[in-house]
Amino acid sequence: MKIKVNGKIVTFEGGTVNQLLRDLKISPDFVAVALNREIVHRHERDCIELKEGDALEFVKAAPGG
Amino acid sequence: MLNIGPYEFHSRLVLGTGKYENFEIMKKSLEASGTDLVTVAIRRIDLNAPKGEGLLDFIDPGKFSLLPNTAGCFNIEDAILTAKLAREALKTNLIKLEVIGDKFSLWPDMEQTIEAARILIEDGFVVMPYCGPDPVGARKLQEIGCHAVMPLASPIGSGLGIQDKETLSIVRKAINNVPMIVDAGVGTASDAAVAMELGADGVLMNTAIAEAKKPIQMAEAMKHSIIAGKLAFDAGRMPRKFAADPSSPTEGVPGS
Repeated sequence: MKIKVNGKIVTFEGGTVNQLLRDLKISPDFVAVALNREIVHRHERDCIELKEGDALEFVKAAPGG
Repeated sequence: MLNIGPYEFHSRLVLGTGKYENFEIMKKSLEASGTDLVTVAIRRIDLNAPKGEGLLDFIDPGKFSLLPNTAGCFNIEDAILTAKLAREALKTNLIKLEVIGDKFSLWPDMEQTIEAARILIEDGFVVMPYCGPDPVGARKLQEIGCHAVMPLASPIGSGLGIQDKETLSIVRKAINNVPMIVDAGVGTASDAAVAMELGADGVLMNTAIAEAKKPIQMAEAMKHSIIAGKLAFDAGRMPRKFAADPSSPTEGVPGS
């Protein structure tokens, strides 16, 4: 299925938020996730199954003032 | 001591982490400045380079608290989403709220800033809004429960210093319950000292240090200027006079 991650279309076999994080080789520490503009808390990452067309944001701290 | 909501900081200097040549210089600058509160942005992870040393590897959590910002947000919805992502990523309820209204000047949109602040306070955030040097807007931010008010001294990254000292003094008088932290526009150490002499409780800066020829040395200069400015403000400056007033006795001058 196709989903959107950080504004880009990504093909994903299906599964949970944590599975997608692993597929993309993103270390889960200090990463925040939003699914369709709603926050996915850490304890929910193993429970929420992604669906076709979902839009995800994976963000972290970056240099800034 | 700088108290912001339930938090207490030893330094009155808040430092940004942007624009440094590399993370090592940033780290040394943070340490030289004596700060214990540093701002970070929240940005999308680069999916092509998800690994490698990151910013947080160079910020010792034992020494520094993180103050995430909502920089780059032009509306309430994006600012709130960014604040919530920051809380989730960094496990802090501190947020430097920026809702920008103009790309050229990066001037804050006060109407949207006030509304976003209201929503974030309701949600349990400790909100430090970036705002214009506007006593009416600043007072509103205080009244709705912001934990600090952060008026700009001149546009972000401009280094123009305190452009309107008198207005900043008026903002100071309008804010009496929460700290006023001058945010943006400082170019060099004297600007920071002037901000503190006007009664600011703290100063937030980034570019003045990151773009100095010697950032680590400038960080140390800023540390001293903040301390000097605060001491001078508390000491109470002498009144201004419009004629000379000799410091030496006028009587008993030899040969007169």
